Parts: sequence; structure tokens; C-alpha cells
Amino acid sequence: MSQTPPESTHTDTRGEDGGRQAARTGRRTATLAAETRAPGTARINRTVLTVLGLLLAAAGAAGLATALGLFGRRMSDQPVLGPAVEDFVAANRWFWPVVAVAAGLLALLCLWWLLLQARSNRVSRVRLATDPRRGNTDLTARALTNAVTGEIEGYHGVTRAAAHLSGTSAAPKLSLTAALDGRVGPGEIHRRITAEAIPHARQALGTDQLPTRLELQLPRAQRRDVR
Amino acid sequence: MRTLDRILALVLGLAGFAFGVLVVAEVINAAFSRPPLLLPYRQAAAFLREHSWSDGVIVTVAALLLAAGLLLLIAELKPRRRAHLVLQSQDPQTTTTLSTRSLARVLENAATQTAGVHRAAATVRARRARLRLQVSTRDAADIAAQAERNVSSALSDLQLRRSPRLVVRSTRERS
Repeated sequence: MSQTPPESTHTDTRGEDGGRQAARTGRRTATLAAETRAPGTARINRTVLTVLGLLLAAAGAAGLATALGLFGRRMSDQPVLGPAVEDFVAANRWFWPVVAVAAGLLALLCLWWLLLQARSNRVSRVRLATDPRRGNTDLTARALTNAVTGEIEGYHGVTRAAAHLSGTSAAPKLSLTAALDGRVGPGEIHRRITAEAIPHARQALGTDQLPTRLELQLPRAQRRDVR
Repeated sequence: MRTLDRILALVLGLAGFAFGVLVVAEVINAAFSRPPLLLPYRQAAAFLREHSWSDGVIVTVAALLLAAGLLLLIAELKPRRRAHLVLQSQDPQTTTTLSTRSLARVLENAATQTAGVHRAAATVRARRARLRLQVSTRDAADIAAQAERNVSSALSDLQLRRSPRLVVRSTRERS
């Protein structure tokens, strides 16, 4: 068995209606990033790590520049901790208290960064009704998400479903993930979920407003070899 | 990348917090002329006194710092790929997505359902989908054309807001 590249064919076509669809939908988003539990935390992590990368690179570059004699040949032969530094530390009694305060601030910043990692935009309860005299009626998010995933997992072609609510308890957003087995097309599953499961979820909450993000997944199966 | 960022945040946050607390404790401890608690700062100071900037070990540390910093900068500043393609929806409140990896599976399944296609492997990006087929030697052109029609049909059935450009490459396979 061998392949014959010289006899290969190469075609280049646009998916049917691709261009027209793009024109029809105008400037609406065609691609999205993966959903995240805490978008704010992701942004802060990226910013902090960028700053850290910048500081590390600057420190490394400064060290290399000194070693290569860019700040003078004499400097490169000096010890890293020279007598001038030690004299400065010995002459200024405020030095170590300032170091301690700076280290304390660093510890507090790191603690804030750590606590930020536990942040989540998920809601555990949804406010169904508010009555000042009789009290409030809440629905646990799990009751709703279990019902929705149970319904979707009952569809032919769906192996597993997951759901959670995010946003606020007064204005929740529904996030759904449906893993498909490939026996039914994603288009058909999409139509069924938007026509049945999502309206049922809205009905349960007694609202027409339930922004929903549905993610369809096809598991990474082994490539089919039909021989 | 977000997962890696979160792991880095946890590791560096813990390390930074522990280091900060230790430095405060060591400064207070040293103020009472007591020996170091945990940080070997006397040994570190002696090491730095003994080595000049041009020593190999210092140059190596500086180079490693520069490399780590640049790596982190590139990783964080590189634009993140939007790997979820949006499907058209009748409901304006619903946004349905399919990952590029899942779309690759859809295309592979559609291709391998064509008689004569032995193997299919797809790579999908937001703007382009590449599909490599291995077809039988007999009627190879017809089989490849049929497979391409099936794949195009599966792609259009998804009703993506913007379909990626489909590029099909087929190779004949001798049995």
C-alpha cells in the first residue's frame, strides 16, 4: 500500500452559500472564543502575567547588558553585590523597614490574585417572583439545569449534556453543552434544542428573556477507515 | 491558554504570597538580631559578593530570565484563536457554536460515508477547512468529487454564519 502524490487532485471551493451567508449576516460575529467561568479573572491573569513577563525580560536584559559591558567594562567586572550597595544599606536605617512594607504589599497583592481565581459568574438561584408582603420565590439553578440536560440527553444523537446559569439571579443566562455521537447532524440537534429544550427552560422560569449559549461538541473519535 | 494562565496564577500567587510573608518575618526577626528563619539570605549575599556580573553563572541566570520573560510575553500577547464557529439561529437570544475541532469531525464523517473514500482527515480554522482524502485508485476523480459534494452539503446543512472555505485534497491509494 502506497500513496501516489503526483496523481493527487486539488480543489478549492467555498462552502455552499458561504459568501452569501456572510453578506446576509452583515457584521454579526462569525466566531467566538470558548466560554469562561470568569471573564474578568481571565483578563486580570493575562495582564498580570504580561507585566511579569515584561519585568523578567527587562531584568534579564539588564543583567546581560551589564555582563557584556554595555554599562562600562569596569561595571561588568564588579561583584553583583558590590560594596557601594552594602554601604548604602548600612547607612540608611529606613531600608529594611521599606523592604518589609514592600514585601507585605507583594504578599497582599498575591493573596488578592489567588482569591480572584475562585471567582465565578455562575448563579445558584434564580428569582422567580418578588412580593414585599409574602416574600420571594427562588428556584435553584440545579433544578432547572438538571431538567434541561435530562431533556436534551433524551434526544437521539446526544450522548451527554451539561448546563449552568450565569449572570445574575434576576437576569440569568443559560449555557448549554451537548456532546453528540455523530449519528444525527449537529444542525438537526441545534434546531431541536432551540425549538424544544430552550423554550421549555424559558417557560419554567416564566420569562421570554433567557439569553442562551449552546455549544455542540463532537467527541474526538478515531478516524474511520472503511476498509 | 486560559487554563495554563490559571495554573500559573495559582503557582506564582502562592509563591509570591509565601515569599512576601517570609521576607516580612525575616526582616522583623533580623531586627532582633536572631538567625534567619527560612530564607538563606546570608548565603545568597555571600554568593552575590563572590561573583561578578560577567561570571558564567550570572550570565546564565540573566539569559534564563530574559528567555522566560520573552516566552511569557509572547504567550500572553499572542492573539487568542476564536475556535468556536457560530451557527445561524432563528432565535435571536440563542447563540449556538461548534468548535473547529468538532466541525473537522463533521467533515470527516461526511467524507468517509462516501463509497471509495478510505480515510479522511480535516483541519479547520475560522476561515479555512482543509480536508485530505485517501480514495481508491479506481474512479478516483469521481469518488473525490462525490465526497466533496457530500462534505459541502454537510457544511451547508450546519448553516454557519460564515462557512470556512473548503479545500479538498485527495490522494489515490494502491491496494
